[in-house]
Amino acid sequence: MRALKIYTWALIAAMYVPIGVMVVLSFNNSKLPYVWGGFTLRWYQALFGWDLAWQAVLNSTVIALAVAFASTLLGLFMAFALRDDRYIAISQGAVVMPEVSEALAFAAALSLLKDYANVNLFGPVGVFLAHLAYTLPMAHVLMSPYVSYVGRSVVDAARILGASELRTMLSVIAPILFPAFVATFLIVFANSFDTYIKTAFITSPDFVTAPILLWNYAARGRGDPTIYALASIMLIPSLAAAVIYFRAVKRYG
Amino acid sequence: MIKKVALVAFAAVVLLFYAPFLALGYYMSGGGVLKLPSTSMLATTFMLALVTAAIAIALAYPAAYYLAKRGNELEFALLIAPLWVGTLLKAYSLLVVFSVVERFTGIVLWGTALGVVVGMVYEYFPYAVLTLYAAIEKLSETPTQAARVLGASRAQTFLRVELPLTMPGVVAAFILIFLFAMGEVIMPAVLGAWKVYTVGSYIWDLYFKARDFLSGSVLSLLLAALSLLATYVVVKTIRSFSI
Repeated sequence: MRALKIYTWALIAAMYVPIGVMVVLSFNNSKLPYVWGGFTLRWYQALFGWDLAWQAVLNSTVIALAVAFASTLLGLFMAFALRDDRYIAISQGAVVMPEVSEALAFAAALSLLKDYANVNLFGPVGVFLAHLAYTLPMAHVLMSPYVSYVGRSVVDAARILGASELRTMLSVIAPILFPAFVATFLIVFANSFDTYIKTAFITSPDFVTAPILLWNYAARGRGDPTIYALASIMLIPSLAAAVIYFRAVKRYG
Repeated sequence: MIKKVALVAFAAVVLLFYAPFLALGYYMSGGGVLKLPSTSMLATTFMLALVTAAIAIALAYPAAYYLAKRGNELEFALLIAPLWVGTLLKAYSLLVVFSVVERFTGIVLWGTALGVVVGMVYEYFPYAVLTLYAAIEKLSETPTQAARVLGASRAQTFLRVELPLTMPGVVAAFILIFLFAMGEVIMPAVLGAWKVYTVGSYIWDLYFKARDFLSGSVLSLLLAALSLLATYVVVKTIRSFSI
């Protein structure tokens, strides 16, 4: 067991080395990744002085916020409507669809709409819809255990004691579901924020998000400290979501 | 009221999911030739996915075993947390590491199949840990103790009792990772520098270069159908442990 423990910690270390190296290099006062030139914040300054990057991060944040809000709310409703165990396999199936899959079919649908109805949804609206379509099953799966956690008896008690349906929802169900709501919101936010493929197929050239900007460098194999800084900033929602998720699981798991 | 809102929300979801399929029907009836990927490309993708799944499971099994038996919450959380980091971020950070490795050891990883495998193992490793952990944790102590009492050594107990009993979990993890890896786009593109050409890259090019919606959508939906099937298998295998 001792050897296994060392092995496990070695793996943990290996998993965080690439991310760690990138974050460290974003503070490196040298353009070359293998030369340490001292600590600096100038790449972050360069990033903040770069209008396109600002716009991209802002676009990503707005889309991710909208998607997280809509997805959590709809996921909650879906969880209520589909409380039966039978349906869960369907939504779980949709969660693990590979990255390309329906994004391209979605693009095909948008393109049809553009050709025949003259409605051009490529751009922010399309990205919002595509992200919603793939985060909803995720939100649903995350919410449904918590929804079944709200026992029938609690709701019945509130109704018998004279609370209206709306009142029951606001003062009984909502407080119980609040932690799940926060966890789902953050996880969907993180997922929407750093998704590249779903965005790439749907977006228009003038709507650039942070992952699209990152891809322009990554796909050409270009190392640039300013981009390391961008990538480090993009890590923040992911890490926050991970921490919140494990805290939520710990409390209810 | 809650029910009505929920049903409206659900209808919206169904529409979001099925509109793409309606579009596909239109392209199918409109004709057009389906451009299938070449055999060598399929072989590359298949081999990459196979190797990735095998390595990820081999690496993850001992860690999952330790986690299920003695691990604490922190170790579990640390191993699983990278799931939340986006693929593109992982690919880009590996790109940086590759350039450092190349400089100091002379080993070229960028643009090679090995580099792509490293990237994909890095990406799918947490999935392997999760699936195997679920299988090993459900393992009952009784057969293990029986084997030990009857005189089997530690290694024998593991090889002939524990490993066969967790085999369904290994199979589930394998199918899951294999099918994820089959549809992978980002790792071959970023770490393979478009030199390692997979079905994912092909679908990508069909859309961005050839603007061929029909072939692209059909191929991508085929991949999606495959992974739905895989998910079904995985969910079923994991469920069977809980009884």
